[in-house]
Amino acid sequence: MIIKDKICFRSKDVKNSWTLSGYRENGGYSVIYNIIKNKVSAESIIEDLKKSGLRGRGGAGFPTGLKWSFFPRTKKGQKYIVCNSDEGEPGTFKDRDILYYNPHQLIEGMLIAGYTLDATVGYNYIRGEFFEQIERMECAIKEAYAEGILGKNVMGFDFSFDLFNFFGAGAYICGEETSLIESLEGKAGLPRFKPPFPANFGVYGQPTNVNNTETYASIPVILEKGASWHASFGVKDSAGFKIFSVSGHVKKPGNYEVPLGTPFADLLDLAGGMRNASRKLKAVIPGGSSSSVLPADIMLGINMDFKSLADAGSMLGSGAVIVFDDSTCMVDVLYHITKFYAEESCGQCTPCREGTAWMHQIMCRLRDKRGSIEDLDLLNSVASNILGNTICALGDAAALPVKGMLLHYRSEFIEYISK
Amino acid sequence: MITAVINNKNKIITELSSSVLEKIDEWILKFPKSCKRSATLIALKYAQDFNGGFLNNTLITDVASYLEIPRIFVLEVATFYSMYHMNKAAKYKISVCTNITCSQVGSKELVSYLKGRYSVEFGMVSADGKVFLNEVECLALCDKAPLVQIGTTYYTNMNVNELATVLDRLE
Repeated sequence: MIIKDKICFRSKDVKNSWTLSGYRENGGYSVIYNIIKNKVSAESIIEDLKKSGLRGRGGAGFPTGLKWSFFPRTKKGQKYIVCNSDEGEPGTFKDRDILYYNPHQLIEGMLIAGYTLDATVGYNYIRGEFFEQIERMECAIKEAYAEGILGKNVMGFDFSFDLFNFFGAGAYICGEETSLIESLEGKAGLPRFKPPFPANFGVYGQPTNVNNTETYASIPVILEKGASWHASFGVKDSAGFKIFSVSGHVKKPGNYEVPLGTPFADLLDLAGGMRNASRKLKAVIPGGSSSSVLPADIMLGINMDFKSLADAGSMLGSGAVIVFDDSTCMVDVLYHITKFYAEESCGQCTPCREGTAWMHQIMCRLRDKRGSIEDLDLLNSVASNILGNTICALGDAAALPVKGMLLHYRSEFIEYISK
Repeated sequence: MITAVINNKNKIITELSSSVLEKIDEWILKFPKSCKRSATLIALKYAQDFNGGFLNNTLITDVASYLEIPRIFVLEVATFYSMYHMNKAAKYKISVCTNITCSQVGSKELVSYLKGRYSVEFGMVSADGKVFLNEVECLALCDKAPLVQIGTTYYTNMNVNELATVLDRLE
C-alpha cells in the first residue's frame, strides 16, 4: 500500500477543507501559533527545515532550509515573502489543487516564512487563468484577516504579516522568479540576471524569498510532525512527499501525493494504468515539458526522485508526468513542445528568442513532411547553442526536451521524414 | 456609468468607469505608495473586462493617466501578456489549449470543429462578430483534457458533440 496524501492533501477528506473551520479540524494554524507563543528562534526553524531535507517543489529542487539560511533576515528594511503560484509548466496542475482545497495551509506556510525571515508582507502570485482558485484564495485571506490571523498583531502577538494575492495575466515566463518579480512590479515579465538573487535584490529591490506553492504549504506539516518524520519518507537526497500530476493516456489522470522515490510503475498503477487496454506504454515525460522524454523501457525501471531521473538523463522537475501510449507520434509531440517555447519566450535574449522560433520552424516543416534528415542535425545544433547561453532557464527548458527527443526517437523521426 | 476623472487643471485624464477606478484604488493599497505601477496588470484586466473583453488604445491611455505612469509602460504590459486582447470585438472569447497533453487526447478535433463552425483561424473574429477564437497554452487542467474555455468558464473532458451542444446553447 502506498502512503498517500500526508502533506498538502492531508485534508482531502475534510468537509469544506478550504474554509478556516475546515482547516482548523486538522489543527490548522496551531504551528504558527506555537512558534510565535514559544518564541521559537529563526535559527532553529531553519535548522529543522535543513534536517527535514525539504527541497523546492516548483521544479528546481533547491534545498529550502539552505535557501532560507542565505536570506538576510537581520538586514534592516522591508523584506518580502513571495509565493510562486504561477503554475504554468505544461502537464502540471498540483498547485491548482492546493490553492483550491487547502489555501489556509499555504497561508500558514507563508506566515511561518514571514516570522522566520523577518518579512511583514507577502504576495501570492497566482496565474490569471486560475479563476476558481483565485476566488478560494481571496476568501481564505479574507477569513484569515477577519480572525486576526493576518494583519497587525497576528493572533494577538507582536508580529504582523500582510498577505496579498496578485494575479498574472498569461505568461509562462512569469513562473521564473525574477520574471515574476518584474511582473509584481507592474512590468512585462523579462527575467533579470542572477546574481543578484531575489534574497538580496527582489521586489522593489528589497530582500525577497520566493518559493513554490507546494513548498510553502508543506512547511506547517513538517514543523508540526518534525524534521525526522519528514526525512523518514522518500529516499536519500529526495526526502518527503511530492505531488505528481499524472495526465495523458492513463485511466485516472489527476494529482497523486506520494513519497519521493516511489517507482514509476506504482505511480502508473495509482493512475489506473493505461487508458486503452489494447495499447502499450510508449514513452513518458516525467517532469513537465522542460524535461527530456524517456522511453517506456527506461521509465518502467525508474523511481520518482531527483537523482534517479537525473541519472536517466531527465529530471523530476515540477512532477508533471505525461504518459504516452503507442498510438503517439513523437514528431507531433515535439512539434507541440517547440510551439510552446517559441510562443512563451520573452524575447529578451537572442539565443532563446531566435532559437525557440527556429526550432519550431524546423518542427513545422518536419511535421508537414517538407523537412529533411539534415534538419534533425540542425535542430540538435540549434538546441545545443541555446543551452547555457541565456539569461534564464527557459532557454534550457526549450532545448533539453528537443535533445532528449532526438536522442531517444531519432529513428522514428527518420522514418516519419522518409515516408 | 462612465465617470470622467478630472485633474486640478480641469483636464479629463480618464474615462474609465467609476466601478473600475474603485477596484483599481483597492488594489493600489496592496503596494507601497510609490509603487502604483504594480497595479498595471489588474487595471488592464478590469478595463478589459468592463469593455466586453477587449482593450483599445484609449483604455491604454486611460490606465496610464490614472496610475500616473508613462503610456508606454502600460502598452508594454498590454502587449506582453496573453490574457489581454487589443483592438478587437466579439461577443464570446473561445480559447482552446493545444499543448502537449491536450493535443494527444483530442484537442485537434475540437480545434477543427471550431475553425469550421465559425470559419476562422486562431486570432480571428467570426464574420458575424460573435466569436473570437483564441489558441492558448497549458491551463493546468491536463487531467480533464481536452478542454475549451469560453469567457471564464472551462468546459473540460470535451468532445465535439458536447462542444456543439454548448455552443448551440450560447448563440
